[in-house]
Amino acid sequence: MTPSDSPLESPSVRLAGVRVRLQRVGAFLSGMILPNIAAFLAWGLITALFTPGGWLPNARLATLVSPMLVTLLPILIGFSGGRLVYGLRGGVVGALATVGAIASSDVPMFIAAMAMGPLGGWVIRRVDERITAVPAALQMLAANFSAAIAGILLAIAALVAVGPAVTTATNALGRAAHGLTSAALLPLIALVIEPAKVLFLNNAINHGILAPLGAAEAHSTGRSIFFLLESNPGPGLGLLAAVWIAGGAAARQSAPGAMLVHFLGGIHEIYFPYVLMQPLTLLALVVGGLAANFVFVVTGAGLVATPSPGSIFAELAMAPRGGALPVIFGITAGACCSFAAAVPLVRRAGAGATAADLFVARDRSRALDVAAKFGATSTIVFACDAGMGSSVIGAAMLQRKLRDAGIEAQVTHSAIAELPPDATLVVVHESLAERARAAAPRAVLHVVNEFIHSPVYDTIVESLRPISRAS
Amino acid sequence: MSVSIQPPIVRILQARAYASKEEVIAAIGAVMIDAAAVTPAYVDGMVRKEQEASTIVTAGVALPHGTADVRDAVRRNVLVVAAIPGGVEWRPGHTVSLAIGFAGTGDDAHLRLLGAVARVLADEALVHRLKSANEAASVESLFECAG
Repeated sequence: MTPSDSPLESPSVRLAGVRVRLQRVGAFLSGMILPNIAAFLAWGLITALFTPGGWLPNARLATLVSPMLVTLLPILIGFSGGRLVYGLRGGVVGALATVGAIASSDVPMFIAAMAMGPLGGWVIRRVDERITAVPAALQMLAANFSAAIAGILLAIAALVAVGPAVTTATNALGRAAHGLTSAALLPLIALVIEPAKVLFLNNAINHGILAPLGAAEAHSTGRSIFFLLESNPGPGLGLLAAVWIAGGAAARQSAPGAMLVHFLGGIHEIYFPYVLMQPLTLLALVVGGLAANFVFVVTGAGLVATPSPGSIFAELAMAPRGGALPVIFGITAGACCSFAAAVPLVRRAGAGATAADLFVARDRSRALDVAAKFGATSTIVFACDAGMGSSVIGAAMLQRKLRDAGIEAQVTHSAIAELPPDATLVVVHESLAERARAAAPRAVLHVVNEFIHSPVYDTIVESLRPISRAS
Repeated sequence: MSVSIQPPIVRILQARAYASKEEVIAAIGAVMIDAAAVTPAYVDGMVRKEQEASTIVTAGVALPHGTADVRDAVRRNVLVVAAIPGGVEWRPGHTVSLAIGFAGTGDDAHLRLLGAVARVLADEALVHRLKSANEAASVESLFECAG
């Protein structure tokens, strides 16, 4: 803050800064969950099928459930977290560190994994920065010993301190949630969840906090309402429907597609940018969330595992046998109430040019482009065949242009085969565009036909400039 | 992560005409092998790379390098600059007058070296100097400072 800043502006500027930072945290946490959705889904399907009360109860196959939940999923999260910070080597140390937390308790250590994974990656990066003067012949040995020792120390720390702390916190949260439930106040949790979701903290809340609570409850009762609280696609559907009916012309065109992506595809992120542009519509989501949670509580709705992604198909697949109707009732109530509350709000916001511009989500990638910007995914991946030749040249050029424009964004390079599936902004030569599209179907793809003077670099710089200014 | 003990090798070929791009790659490859930077398998990889996709990085400039599967054949980071005054047809309709053969060990120095190549190629004046290539010593220093 300089003295010349208007005193009236500074709080809102500061708030915007906080918002952007929260979104960054949310995007980072999602980066640990999204690559592992398949594993969450596998765990959920096995739970829905083979546990007592499932569709095909089978005691032998049900033994798969616990190792997946308690061991596999936290390790995957820890690995992904370490990898985000420092590549595969960071991932290995992050996974090692996570094991300490897992060994300390029977509680699914998702939150601890989200902390220990990135910590492991960060620690081994710092270690590597320090250890430099190693003779070439000993490099492999030194690299592996340093990572192993760092992993061991972190695992011990997690076993002794982090795991027990998380267990305590999870138990406290569980008691608080139980207290809310028995006081019939659980629906009010929508007041927290709906705003946090649009800040892209959705995955952190659902997988980090609600999943362990739900897993504990489902273990004793066979189902849990906690799996429904964040993943419920009803309120978002209601909002998008209101935009369709009452929004501007451009929004009206794009809303049906967005509804499909959201409700069937389970990608809730598609409606977040709209709420961030028209914050009052958050009220409609909260109303929808309250209504849905109320119906869930009254009808005794619950799921057996985390529906991931939050698509209607996943919700129904995770419903216990004979328990689908309460889930459907709650989701419908959420959609209807959110729709009714959103229509006047959307109409009031009118066909405001900025909102319409933002919401021209003609296709899914366009919407994810916007989401990626808000999610502050500041990594751009340059893809080529081997990942070591022209993509490095291109990445260096693009990095220079971004730096000259004062934009803080990291350009990495990668072979197409190793392209992270959650990459959001990918640059690739025209001859490889189709392979890159297949490898990263959700990414916004920029295609170049030369690597040094490509005009596409300027396009990318321009597209990132507004976001860079916002932060 | 890993530490490169040895600086990259940078070699400049005397500017001359070539009959084909295969001949350019063979000349570059011979220098790489001669400098003990790569084994012959890498040169085969460079030829195969061109069959998969052209390595033209910008108008008139190619960066021939090996396929991913011959990365093990690289001993040292190496650049071989070949100026081709009359140009040679690299792919139909595209002539190359500057070829920079490249082999990298995949370490940080490899990346810095390619970063230096990008910096040089972005500068029209430096590209012109490389193409004229009658001042090998000063051209060499362009890349070495970044190694």
